[in-house]
Amino acid sequence: MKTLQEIIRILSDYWADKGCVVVQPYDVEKGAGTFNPMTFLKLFDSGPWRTAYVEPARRPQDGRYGDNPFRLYKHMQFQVILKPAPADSRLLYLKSLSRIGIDVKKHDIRFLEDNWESPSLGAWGRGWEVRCDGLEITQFTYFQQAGGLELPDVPVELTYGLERLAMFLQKKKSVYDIEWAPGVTYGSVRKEEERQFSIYYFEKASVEGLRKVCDFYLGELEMLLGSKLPLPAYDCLLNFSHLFNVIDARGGIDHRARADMIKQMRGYARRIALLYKEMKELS
Amino acid sequence: MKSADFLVELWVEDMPVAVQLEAEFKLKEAVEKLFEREKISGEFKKGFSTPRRAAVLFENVSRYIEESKTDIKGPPEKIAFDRDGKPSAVLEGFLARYQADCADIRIRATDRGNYVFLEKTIPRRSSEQVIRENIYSALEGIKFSKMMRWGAHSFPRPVRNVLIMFGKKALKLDCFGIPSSKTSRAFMGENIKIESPAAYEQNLKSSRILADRKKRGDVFEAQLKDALKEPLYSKPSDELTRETLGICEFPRILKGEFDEKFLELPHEFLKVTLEFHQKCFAVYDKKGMVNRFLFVVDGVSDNAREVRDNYERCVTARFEDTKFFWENDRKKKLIEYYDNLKRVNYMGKFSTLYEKAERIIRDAAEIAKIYSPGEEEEVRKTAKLLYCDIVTQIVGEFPELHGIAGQYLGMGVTDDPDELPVGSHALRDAVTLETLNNVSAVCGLAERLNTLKSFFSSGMLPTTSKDPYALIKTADEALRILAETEGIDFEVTKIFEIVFDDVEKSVSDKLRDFMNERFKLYLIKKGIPADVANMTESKFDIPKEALKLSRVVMTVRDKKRDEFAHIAASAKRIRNILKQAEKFGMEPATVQKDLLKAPEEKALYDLSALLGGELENLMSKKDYTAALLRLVSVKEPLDSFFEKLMVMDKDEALRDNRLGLLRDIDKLLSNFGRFDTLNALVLEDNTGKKLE
Repeated sequence: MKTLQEIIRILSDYWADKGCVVVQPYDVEKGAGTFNPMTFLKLFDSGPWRTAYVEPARRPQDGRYGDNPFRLYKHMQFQVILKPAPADSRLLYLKSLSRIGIDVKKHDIRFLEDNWESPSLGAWGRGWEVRCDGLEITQFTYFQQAGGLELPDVPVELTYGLERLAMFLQKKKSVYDIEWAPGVTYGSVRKEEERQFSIYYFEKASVEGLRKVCDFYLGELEMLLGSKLPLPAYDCLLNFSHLFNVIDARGGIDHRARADMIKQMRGYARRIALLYKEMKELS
Repeated sequence: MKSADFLVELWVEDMPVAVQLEAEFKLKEAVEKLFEREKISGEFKKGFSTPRRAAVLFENVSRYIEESKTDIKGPPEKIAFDRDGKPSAVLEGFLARYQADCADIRIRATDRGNYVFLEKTIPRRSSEQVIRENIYSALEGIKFSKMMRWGAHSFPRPVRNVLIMFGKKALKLDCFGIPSSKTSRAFMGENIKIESPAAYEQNLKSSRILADRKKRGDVFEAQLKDALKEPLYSKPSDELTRETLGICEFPRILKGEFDEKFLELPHEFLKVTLEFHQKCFAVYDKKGMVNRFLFVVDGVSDNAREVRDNYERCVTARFEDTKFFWENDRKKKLIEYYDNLKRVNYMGKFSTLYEKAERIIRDAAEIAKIYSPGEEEEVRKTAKLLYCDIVTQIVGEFPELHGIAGQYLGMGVTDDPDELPVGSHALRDAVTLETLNNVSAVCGLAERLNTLKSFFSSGMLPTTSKDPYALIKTADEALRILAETEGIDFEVTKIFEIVFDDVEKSVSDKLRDFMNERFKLYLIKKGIPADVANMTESKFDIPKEALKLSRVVMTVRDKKRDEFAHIAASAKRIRNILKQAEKFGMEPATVQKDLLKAPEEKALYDLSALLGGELENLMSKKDYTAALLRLVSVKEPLDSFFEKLMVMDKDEALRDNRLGLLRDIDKLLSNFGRFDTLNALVLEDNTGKKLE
């Protein structure tokens, strides 16, 4: 039986072999691995780029106080970017499954249409959710646009749900029973964190205070864009986006405001992308 | 051999279910167009599509294209060349159209002057050669509504292998950036050698791929029949079947089980969880749902037990989630969710769902006052609960449970006046329209009309190609309620006065026109011939009556085809004459008996006077069949009237009197709508289906 950390190691080795730069998680809270600048910003570089990394994805609204065996406020994604997408992208992916112990020929592997989209990043693609014996294990996307800009070298993004994969391989009924390392369960490592953060996000977070922090980040964003510093500006956007999710989980954002704020984020994502691109082209 | 089979297959990363058949069809179209343009003879034999491939097989494709001569008349010499004798834009356009150049043209004299002629002899060519040169542009030029880009190419999903065979030979060329061959591919990209175009289907079958859609369906149906023993059964919807079959190349049905404890949850929830999330099929016996399910896998052979265990774990996980949501939702009573609607934004006229709900309650109560007095209170209560479940977790997760979840949450166990009476299905039915009783119909109608109002009053109108808010469906549902509610004869004008008193008249007029137009399609969908639907749509004010009337017209006309065709022709003539008269400022007079001279007009008058009273009587008794049969008797006198008499007589009094007579007849006819739109002389069956 493969432990969670073994799965991570095997995937890292496999993709490193395929030419990926294996980087570490980007240490700003985010809702998905796509938000890591190694994906989002690197899409705008000219020339090829391959990377792989584990990324914790925080979605405050999915928190269940550690009570639900399948839902977490924070889960781990294993993210792969291949730019441009090679013709054998799918085969490379299927072989990676075999490597971690899923014999593709013995299981029911399906590709269900799922056109991934991130409204706040102005990004979308065409692709699938990949299911193995009915369980969604990967999001497989050929990006078409990001930051509202057409991407000339269409990249492929693979996002494996690590907890899902581990539950599948270890035949566990609860995420907390996953064996992370020999003799160490996922629950013993993370369950208390789920409980406390659920309380924080759903009951304690100071909405008004957080709004002020959001406003602060918006100010910084403008200032940094004016100073032609797209990288720190992007950090501000990530922070803003996460706080937005926290306030949202507290029920502090009505639907209209949500639409407005997403639009606002999309606007910044675009400006950052444009500035980043422009500076790359000049350098 | 003079001819050969021709096969093209594109192997694609899984295409969405909705485009697979489209891809097959467009592939066929692309090849046919190419054949037609290049004058290659050949017959389409069969098309194939799975998630991963689209292919077409043609038979008897001629190996050679015989020599041909073109001789096409072009522009006059005068405008074909400019002052310097160089080809003008006109000539260039002409040449481009026929892919020719100046060397191919001759100037020839005609009786209208000198003209440019394209004279080109195309020598005998090999089809193989022509196809090789042209097929890639034909294939790469295929357009879909939803495309994906990769590299320099586009298709709904990336094309990863191209097979082109002419006879047993591969046609080698580059297409979608891939060198074509006569090798197809299996799931992991394994080679599948195709022996000949005709052997394609069989060769794939040996690799456990059923390329023929119909065969996949047949295999599925047969397995479904065998999977369960009486009294167990499963009836997946057509949509679910299509979706399930659309994601596999070789369907195989397996069985699974789940813990009986979940059967305590409302079974609709379990069904949605199984079908929507897991693409599994619920299983029932005579008493209802049982703790089993079916699922379809793609060609798996020797590991069924493990696959089943995994599926069962997924289903359990989903059910746990559903149970978690439901247990949370049930902590509050349905009515307690009402205030949460303030937080749900809405589009158009209403800024929140709460605002819209308030208006629906008001409108539903007003409508009930007229059409369902005595049930006002229940209507008000149901309308207030209508949207409450939208803010529950279970509906957030499964939007299709809207209405159903509400019903379960709102069903009374106490005497609380906020709760629905036990056994009442009104709330659910107002959303789903499964059955229409007075309460569900009135609430459902107020809801649909307010949805339309909100968007129409903000100028967000649907078109047939763009309808993001499903307003066409909403309008059709409103029409269904209007026309099919057993106990109520709704009147559109009155209903509109209630619901649209807070918007400008132009908005309600626009919506009325829109619904009137949809109503015609509604009638056609109900099996009413298109021309009858055209005739009775003017009776739209009471849709239920219009539907009844249409059915009567349809049946009676079937018996009296000839008479109807004649009356329709006369009705048209009457309309034209009256229109003409109006244009020239002539006024039909009230008919004066002493001005009737000819026996034909006297006869017509007598009949119309007689019919007037009779029809009124029969119509008020709603005996439409008798009324219509009676009306048919107008045919003879009407025919002779037109045969013998001129309406536009020189004598103005006589003329206006005859116009008056015709106007009276027109009025009689219009009891049934616009007779003049009925097919007049076309006597064959017109089912309208083609017009849909």
